[in-house]
Amino acid sequence: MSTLSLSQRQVLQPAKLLLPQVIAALAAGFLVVMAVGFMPLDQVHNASHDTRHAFAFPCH
Amino acid sequence: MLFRRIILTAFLIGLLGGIVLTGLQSVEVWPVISSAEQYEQPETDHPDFSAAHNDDVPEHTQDHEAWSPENGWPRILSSSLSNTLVSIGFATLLLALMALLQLTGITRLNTRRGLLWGLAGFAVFFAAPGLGLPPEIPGTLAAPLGLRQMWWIFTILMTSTGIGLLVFSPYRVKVMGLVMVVLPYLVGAPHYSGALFSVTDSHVVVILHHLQQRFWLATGVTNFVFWLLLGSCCAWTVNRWILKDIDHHAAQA
Repeated sequence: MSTLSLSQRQVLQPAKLLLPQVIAALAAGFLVVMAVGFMPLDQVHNASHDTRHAFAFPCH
Repeated sequence: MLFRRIILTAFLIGLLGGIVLTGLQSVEVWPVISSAEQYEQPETDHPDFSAAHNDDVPEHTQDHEAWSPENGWPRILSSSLSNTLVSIGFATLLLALMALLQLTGITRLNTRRGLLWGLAGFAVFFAAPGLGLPPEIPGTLAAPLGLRQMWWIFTILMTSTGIGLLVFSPYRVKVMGLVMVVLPYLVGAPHYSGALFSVTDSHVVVILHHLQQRFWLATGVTNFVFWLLLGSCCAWTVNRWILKDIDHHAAQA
Protein backbone atom coordinates (compact mmCIF):
# COMPACT_ATOMS: atom_id res chain seq x y z
CA MET A 1 0.00 0.00 0.00
CA SER A 2 2.74 2.41 0.98
CA THR A 3 4.59 1.65 -2.29
CA LEU A 4 1.47 2.47 -4.25
CA SER A 5 0.91 5.80 -2.52
CA LEU A 6 4.57 6.72 -2.99
CA SER A 7 4.47 5.95 -6.72
CA GLN A 8 1.24 7.93 -7.00
CA ARG A 9 2.92 10.91 -5.38
CA GLN A 10 5.88 10.55 -7.72
CA VAL A 11 3.67 10.55 -10.77
CA LEU A 12 1.02 13.08 -9.79
CA GLN A 13 3.36 15.75 -8.48
CA PRO A 14 5.01 16.72 -11.79
CA ALA A 15 1.83 16.08 -13.79
CA LYS A 16 0.28 19.25 -12.41
CA LEU A 17 3.32 21.33 -13.26
CA LEU A 18 3.87 19.80 -16.68
CA LEU A 19 0.26 19.68 -17.81
CA PRO A 20 0.23 23.13 -19.53
CA GLN A 21 3.23 22.10 -21.65
CA VAL A 22 1.57 18.85 -22.66
CA ILE A 23 -1.67 20.66 -23.53
CA ALA A 24 0.32 23.22 -25.58
CA ALA A 25 2.00 20.37 -27.51
CA LEU A 26 -1.40 18.76 -28.07
CA ALA A 27 -2.75 22.02 -29.49
CA ALA A 28 0.34 22.49 -31.68
CA GLY A 29 -0.03 18.99 -33.15
CA PHE A 30 -3.72 19.52 -33.82
CA LEU A 31 -3.01 22.85 -35.56
CA VAL A 32 -0.37 21.32 -37.84
CA VAL A 33 -2.69 18.45 -38.84
CA MET A 34 -5.55 20.90 -39.48
CA ALA A 35 -3.28 23.18 -41.55
CA VAL A 36 -2.17 20.37 -43.87
CA GLY A 37 -5.59 18.78 -44.12
CA PHE A 38 -8.00 21.69 -44.05
CA MET A 39 -6.42 25.08 -44.81
CA PRO A 40 -8.65 26.52 -47.55
CA LEU A 41 -5.94 28.60 -49.26
CA ASP A 42 -5.69 27.37 -52.88
CA GLN A 43 -1.89 27.17 -52.87
CA VAL A 44 -1.86 25.09 -49.68
CA HIS A 45 -4.61 22.87 -51.08
CA ASN A 46 -2.64 22.27 -54.28
CA ALA A 47 0.63 21.63 -52.45
CA SER A 48 -0.93 19.10 -50.04
CA HIS A 49 -3.46 17.71 -52.55
CA ASP A 50 -2.12 14.15 -52.79
CA THR A 51 -1.54 13.95 -49.02
CA ARG A 52 -5.13 15.04 -48.38
CA HIS A 53 -6.45 12.34 -50.71
CA ALA A 54 -4.12 9.69 -49.26
CA PHE A 55 -5.26 10.44 -45.68
CA ALA A 56 -8.93 10.66 -46.70
CA PHE A 57 -9.22 14.26 -45.57
CA PRO A 58 -12.29 15.75 -47.26
CA CYS A 59 -10.81 17.44 -50.36
CA HIS A 60 -12.53 19.52 -53.15
CA MET B 1 11.56 21.39 -20.98
CA LEU B 2 8.84 18.90 -21.79
CA PHE B 3 7.23 20.93 -24.61
CA ARG B 4 10.54 21.22 -26.44
CA ARG B 5 11.26 17.51 -26.01
CA ILE B 6 7.86 16.57 -27.44
CA ILE B 7 8.21 18.90 -30.45
CA LEU B 8 11.81 17.85 -31.18
CA THR B 9 10.99 14.13 -30.94
CA ALA B 10 7.85 14.61 -33.05
CA PHE B 11 9.99 16.37 -35.65
CA LEU B 12 12.39 13.41 -35.90
CA ILE B 13 9.66 10.75 -35.89
CA GLY B 14 7.65 12.87 -38.34
CA LEU B 15 10.64 12.99 -40.68
CA LEU B 16 10.85 9.19 -40.61
CA GLY B 17 7.07 8.93 -41.05
CA GLY B 18 7.21 11.32 -44.00
CA ILE B 19 9.88 9.23 -45.74
CA VAL B 20 7.95 5.99 -45.15
CA LEU B 21 4.66 7.59 -46.27
CA THR B 22 6.22 8.97 -49.43
CA GLY B 23 7.78 5.61 -50.27
CA LEU B 24 4.54 3.71 -49.67
CA GLN B 25 2.32 6.20 -51.49
CA SER B 26 4.52 6.11 -54.58
CA VAL B 27 3.73 2.40 -55.03
CA GLU B 28 -0.02 2.61 -55.54
CA VAL B 29 -1.64 5.76 -54.09
CA TRP B 30 -0.01 8.28 -56.46
CA PRO B 31 -0.44 6.13 -59.59
CA VAL B 32 -4.18 5.78 -58.84
CA ILE B 33 -4.53 9.54 -58.23
CA SER B 34 -2.80 10.39 -61.49
CA SER B 35 -4.88 7.79 -63.43
CA ALA B 36 -8.09 9.26 -62.00
CA GLU B 37 -6.98 12.79 -62.87
CA GLN B 38 -6.84 11.84 -66.55
CA TYR B 39 -10.61 11.41 -66.47
CA GLU B 40 -11.33 14.40 -64.23
CA GLN B 41 -13.68 16.95 -65.75
CA PRO B 42 -13.02 20.69 -65.37
CA GLU B 43 -15.01 21.81 -62.35
CA THR B 44 -17.07 24.34 -64.29
CA ASP B 45 -18.55 21.54 -66.44
CA HIS B 46 -20.57 20.26 -63.54
CA PRO B 47 -22.88 22.72 -61.79
CA ASP B 48 -23.33 20.65 -58.60
CA PHE B 49 -19.64 20.16 -58.14
CA SER B 50 -18.67 23.78 -58.72
CA ALA B 51 -21.46 24.96 -56.44
CA ALA B 52 -20.17 22.76 -53.66
CA HIS B 53 -16.66 24.02 -54.22
CA ASN B 54 -17.45 27.70 -54.51
CA ASP B 55 -18.87 27.87 -50.98
CA ASP B 56 -15.43 27.50 -49.54
CA VAL B 57 -13.24 29.50 -51.91
CA PRO B 58 -13.07 33.27 -51.66
CA GLU B 59 -14.22 34.86 -54.93
CA HIS B 60 -11.06 36.80 -55.66
CA THR B 61 -8.95 33.63 -55.77
CA GLN B 62 -11.08 32.18 -58.56
CA ASP B 63 -10.20 34.89 -61.07
CA HIS B 64 -6.79 33.41 -61.77
CA GLU B 65 -5.25 29.97 -61.53
CA ALA B 66 -3.58 29.50 -58.12
CA TRP B 67 -0.04 28.14 -57.87
CA SER B 68 0.14 24.40 -58.14
CA PRO B 69 3.22 22.12 -58.21
CA GLU B 70 3.91 20.86 -61.72
CA ASN B 71 3.71 17.12 -62.33
CA GLY B 72 7.00 15.31 -61.85
CA TRP B 73 9.59 16.30 -59.27
CA PRO B 74 7.89 19.50 -58.05
CA ARG B 75 4.74 17.53 -57.20
CA ILE B 76 6.69 14.68 -55.60
CA LEU B 77 8.64 17.17 -53.49
CA SER B 78 5.48 19.04 -52.53
CA SER B 79 3.70 15.82 -51.50
CA SER B 80 6.76 14.62 -49.57
CA LEU B 81 6.85 17.89 -47.64
CA SER B 82 3.15 17.80 -46.78
CA ASN B 83 3.47 14.11 -45.84
CA THR B 84 6.31 15.01 -43.48
CA LEU B 85 4.41 17.96 -42.04
CA VAL B 86 1.22 15.99 -41.35
CA SER B 87 3.36 13.18 -39.94
CA ILE B 88 5.03 15.65 -37.54
CA GLY B 89 1.56 16.87 -36.53
CA PHE B 90 0.27 13.34 -35.84
CA ALA B 91 3.48 12.44 -33.94
CA THR B 92 3.09 15.59 -31.79
CA LEU B 93 -0.52 14.67 -30.99
CA LEU B 94 0.41 11.08 -30.14
CA LEU B 95 3.44 12.00 -28.00
CA ALA B 96 1.52 14.67 -26.09
CA LEU B 97 -1.38 12.30 -25.38
CA MET B 98 0.99 9.50 -24.35
CA ALA B 99 2.87 11.88 -22.04
CA LEU B 100 -0.41 13.14 -20.60
CA LEU B 101 -1.74 9.68 -19.79
CA GLN B 102 1.57 8.43 -18.43
CA LEU B 103 2.15 11.54 -16.28
CA THR B 104 -1.29 11.24 -14.75
CA GLY B 105 -0.67 7.55 -14.02
CA ILE B 106 -3.46 6.34 -16.29
CA THR B 107 -1.18 4.12 -18.35
CA ARG B 108 2.42 2.98 -18.61
CA LEU B 109 3.74 2.92 -22.18
CA ASN B 110 5.89 0.23 -23.79
CA THR B 111 6.57 -0.55 -27.43
CA ARG B 112 3.87 -3.26 -27.61
CA ARG B 113 1.29 -0.84 -26.21
CA GLY B 114 2.64 1.70 -28.69
CA LEU B 115 1.47 -0.59 -31.50
CA LEU B 116 -2.02 -0.55 -29.94
CA TRP B 117 -1.84 3.26 -29.81
CA GLY B 118 -0.91 3.19 -33.49
CA LEU B 119 -3.89 0.95 -34.17
CA ALA B 120 -6.08 3.45 -32.30
CA GLY B 121 -4.61 6.30 -34.38
CA PHE B 122 -5.47 4.40 -37.56
CA ALA B 123 -9.00 3.83 -36.27
CA VAL B 124 -9.49 7.47 -35.22
CA PHE B 125 -7.96 9.29 -38.19
CA PHE B 126 -8.60 6.88 -41.06
CA ALA B 127 -11.04 4.04 -40.42
CA ALA B 128 -13.71 5.92 -38.44
CA PRO B 129 -14.05 8.96 -40.75
CA GLY B 130 -13.48 6.67 -43.77
CA LEU B 131 -16.53 4.56 -42.88
CA GLY B 132 -18.73 7.60 -43.44
CA LEU B 133 -16.63 9.44 -46.02
CA PRO B 134 -14.48 6.86 -47.89
CA PRO B 135 -11.15 7.99 -49.38
CA GLU B 136 -11.89 9.74 -52.67
CA ILE B 137 -10.05 9.67 -55.97
CA PRO B 138 -9.92 12.99 -57.88
CA GLY B 139 -13.11 13.56 -59.86
CA THR B 140 -15.40 12.13 -57.17
CA LEU B 141 -18.50 14.18 -56.44
CA ALA B 142 -19.59 14.61 -52.85
CA ALA B 143 -21.56 16.77 -50.41
CA PRO B 144 -20.33 20.36 -49.80
CA LEU B 145 -16.78 20.46 -48.48
CA GLY B 146 -17.57 22.47 -45.33
CA LEU B 147 -20.14 19.92 -44.13
CA ARG B 148 -17.79 16.99 -44.77
CA GLN B 149 -14.96 18.73 -42.93
CA MET B 150 -17.20 19.41 -39.94
CA TRP B 151 -18.34 15.77 -39.84
CA TRP B 152 -14.72 14.60 -40.17
CA ILE B 153 -13.58 16.70 -37.18
CA PHE B 154 -16.65 15.70 -35.15
CA THR B 155 -15.93 12.02 -35.92
CA ILE B 156 -12.25 12.10 -34.92
CA LEU B 157 -13.06 13.94 -31.66
CA MET B 158 -15.86 11.49 -30.78
CA THR B 159 -13.88 8.37 -31.77
CA SER B 160 -10.71 9.39 -29.94
CA THR B 161 -12.58 10.31 -26.75
CA GLY B 162 -14.75 7.20 -27.09
CA ILE B 163 -11.79 4.83 -27.49
CA GLY B 164 -10.05 6.58 -24.57
CA LEU B 165 -13.08 5.97 -22.35
CA LEU B 166 -13.50 2.38 -23.56
CA VAL B 167 -9.90 1.52 -22.76
CA PHE B 168 -9.07 3.56 -19.66
CA SER B 169 -12.30 4.34 -17.79
CA PRO B 170 -14.15 2.32 -15.14
CA TYR B 171 -16.59 -0.29 -16.38
CA ARG B 172 -19.71 1.85 -16.01
CA VAL B 173 -18.31 4.78 -18.00
CA LYS B 174 -17.30 2.49 -20.88
CA VAL B 175 -20.89 2.56 -22.14
CA MET B 176 -20.53 6.29 -22.76
CA GLY B 177 -17.36 5.59 -24.77
CA LEU B 178 -19.29 3.15 -26.94
CA VAL B 179 -22.01 5.73 -27.52
CA MET B 180 -19.40 8.30 -28.58
CA VAL B 181 -17.82 5.88 -31.06
CA VAL B 182 -21.19 5.13 -32.64
CA LEU B 183 -22.64 8.67 -32.51
CA PRO B 184 -21.08 10.02 -35.75
CA TYR B 185 -22.87 7.30 -37.75
CA LEU B 186 -26.17 7.96 -35.98
CA VAL B 187 -25.79 11.62 -36.94
CA GLY B 188 -24.75 10.42 -40.41
CA ALA B 189 -22.02 11.62 -42.78
CA PRO B 190 -23.07 14.43 -45.16
CA HIS B 191 -24.94 12.69 -47.94
CA TYR B 192 -24.59 13.38 -51.64
CA SER B 193 -27.35 11.98 -53.82
CA GLY B 194 -26.06 12.71 -57.34
CA ALA B 195 -23.72 10.76 -59.63
CA LEU B 196 -20.55 9.48 -57.97
CA PHE B 197 -18.14 10.91 -60.56
CA SER B 198 -17.96 14.09 -62.62
CA VAL B 199 -17.83 12.07 -65.87
CA THR B 200 -20.89 10.46 -67.47
CA ASP B 201 -19.28 8.06 -69.98
CA SER B 202 -20.23 4.60 -68.66
CA HIS B 203 -16.92 2.99 -69.72
CA VAL B 204 -14.98 5.65 -67.80
CA VAL B 205 -17.28 5.26 -64.79
CA VAL B 206 -16.43 1.54 -64.67
CA ILE B 207 -12.73 2.38 -64.78
CA LEU B 208 -13.16 4.98 -62.01
CA HIS B 209 -15.06 2.47 -59.82
CA HIS B 210 -12.16 0.08 -60.24
CA LEU B 211 -9.65 2.85 -59.45
CA GLN B 212 -11.62 3.80 -56.36
CA GLN B 213 -11.49 0.25 -55.00
CA ARG B 214 -7.75 0.13 -55.62
CA PHE B 215 -7.48 3.48 -53.84
CA TRP B 216 -9.36 2.26 -50.74
CA LEU B 217 -7.02 -0.71 -50.39
CA ALA B 218 -3.88 1.32 -51.13
CA THR B 219 -4.69 4.14 -48.70
CA GLY B 220 -5.82 1.61 -46.07
CA VAL B 221 -2.56 -0.35 -46.19
CA THR B 222 -0.42 2.81 -46.37
CA ASN B 223 -2.13 4.45 -43.40
CA PHE B 224 -2.11 1.21 -41.39
CA VAL B 225 1.67 0.76 -41.75
CA PHE B 226 2.24 4.47 -41.07
CA TRP B 227 0.21 4.43 -37.83
CA LEU B 228 1.83 1.25 -36.49
CA LEU B 229 5.24 2.80 -37.11
CA LEU B 230 4.19 6.09 -35.50
CA GLY B 231 2.66 4.37 -32.46
CA SER B 232 5.64 2.16 -31.72
CA CYS B 233 8.24 4.92 -32.31
CA CYS B 234 6.35 7.39 -30.12
CA ALA B 235 5.89 4.90 -27.26
CA TRP B 236 9.55 3.95 -27.41
CA THR B 237 10.72 7.57 -27.19
CA VAL B 238 8.27 8.50 -24.41
CA ASN B 239 10.14 6.26 -21.98
CA ARG B 240 13.63 6.58 -23.49
CA TRP B 241 13.69 10.35 -23.74
CA ILE B 242 10.56 12.45 -23.19
CA LEU B 243 9.68 11.39 -19.63
CA LYS B 244 13.14 9.99 -18.87
CA ASP B 245 13.94 11.91 -15.69
CA ILE B 246 10.51 13.29 -14.80
CA ASP B 247 9.89 10.68 -12.07
CA HIS B 248 13.34 11.35 -10.67
CA HIS B 249 12.57 15.08 -10.32
CA ALA B 250 9.30 14.23 -8.65
CA ALA B 251 11.02 12.04 -6.10
CA GLN B 252 13.27 14.95 -5.18
CA ALA B 253 10.37 17.41 -4.96
